[in-house]
Amino acid sequence: MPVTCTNDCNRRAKLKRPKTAEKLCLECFYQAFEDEIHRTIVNNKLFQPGESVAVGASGGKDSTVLAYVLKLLNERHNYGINLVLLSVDEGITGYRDDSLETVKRNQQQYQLPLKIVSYEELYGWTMDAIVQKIGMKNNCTFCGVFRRQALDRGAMLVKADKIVTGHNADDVAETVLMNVLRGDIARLRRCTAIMTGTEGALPRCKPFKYTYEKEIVMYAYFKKLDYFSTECVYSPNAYRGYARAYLKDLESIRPSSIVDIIHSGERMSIKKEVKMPEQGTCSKCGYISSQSICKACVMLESLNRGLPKLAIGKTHKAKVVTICSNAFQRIIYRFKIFHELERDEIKFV
Amino acid sequence: MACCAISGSIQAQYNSKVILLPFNFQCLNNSDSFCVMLWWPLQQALNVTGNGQAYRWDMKKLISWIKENLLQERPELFVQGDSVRPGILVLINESDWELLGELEYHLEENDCILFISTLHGG
Ligand SMILES: [Zn+2]
Ligand SMILES: [Zn+2]
Repeated sequence: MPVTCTNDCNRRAKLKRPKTAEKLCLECFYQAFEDEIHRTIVNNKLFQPGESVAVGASGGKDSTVLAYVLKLLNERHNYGINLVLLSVDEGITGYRDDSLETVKRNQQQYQLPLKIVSYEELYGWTMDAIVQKIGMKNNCTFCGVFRRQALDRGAMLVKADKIVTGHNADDVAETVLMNVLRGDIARLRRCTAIMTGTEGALPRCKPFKYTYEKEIVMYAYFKKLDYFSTECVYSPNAYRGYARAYLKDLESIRPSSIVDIIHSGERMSIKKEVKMPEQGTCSKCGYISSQSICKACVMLESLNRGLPKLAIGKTHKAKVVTICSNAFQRIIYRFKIFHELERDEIKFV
Repeated sequence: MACCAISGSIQAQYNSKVILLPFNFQCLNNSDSFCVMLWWPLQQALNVTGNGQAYRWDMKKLISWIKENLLQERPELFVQGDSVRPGILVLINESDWELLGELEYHLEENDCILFISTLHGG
């Protein structure tokens, strides 16, 4: 039998919001979804009038919905910002080609300027070439480090004041979990921040920090937004995959788990005596870095010298102090098995 | 006739012999091909179980049928226990199945079931 909308609008409910368990019709869902993001933007003062904002656009569901919603809210609430789509071309045949096509269609659909920066022009290496050189192992690390810088450099090229990314609540919760498990305090502190990099590099923000993945997918589906959905052809991150599956299990038992984990991450405090890595700049490229030479430059040099192994040596970990509440201990116990997997991965502090 | 589509990563993992689906929703909404692909085996299965009667299948039965008949490789990417793996959204006639009793929902003629994987692809 049809369920009617919780908002008493007499329309038929189409979905159940995971965060609030409200049963909403499409109109009320769109309204609630958009209003919530608007409130996040306003409460955290993410944008100033006149700013130029680069949307990290991968063609995937999150960034596609982000570009759509930001354009809509910018017009509806007069943020006065200029939006630019910014895409990184890693040079992965068959994967990035298709997703870039999606971004190009989005550019037409949303009438936003688009800038594509490629690994090849920035680093002289495509991911395909890197994989040929170093094999399938560790290539995600290269790709991740390069992508981060590529977005920043692209944003500077288009003279953006800020970068927004489509990281959603599920992503943030997953990152909190992973940083707890790895004892990576520097990242744990940063990963829940809605805006980072205000001290030097281009600020980055996550307007979807509190937005559930389920709602993003539903929104994209019902609005018939054009997005691209497939796995990167090079190995997916196994550890992250387990963390995500675990998070989804938790969510299916108690939907609020996701925001709960984000709040836990926000509330963790770090003892003063824990030494945090200091942020400086890379002596080679000038990019923000905690070492004298940034990760990308180290990797690039080893690639060019034909010695990719150099780049992935173990680095020290900051010690975990005082953050293990009972809840997290249980999670850590649950995850012990995954630490086995982690050995194959590379950790940076 | 009930029709189903498995979207996103799933069919990528299960390759084209299972369900050929365009990758994005734009194509998905414009194309009937995905319905046909599953329509066939599903109809055959329903015919075997007896005309018409088979529409009394519930979602639980449908999911286990998909697992047994369509997903030869790595079914754990789609099913977990009796249900779909957490992170896969299910729409029944364009409505969230959480409003419709999930596994207990009984299939009706002309129902359209859509599985959307959210597990990756930001
Ligand atoms: Zn309503
Ligand atoms: Zn550098």
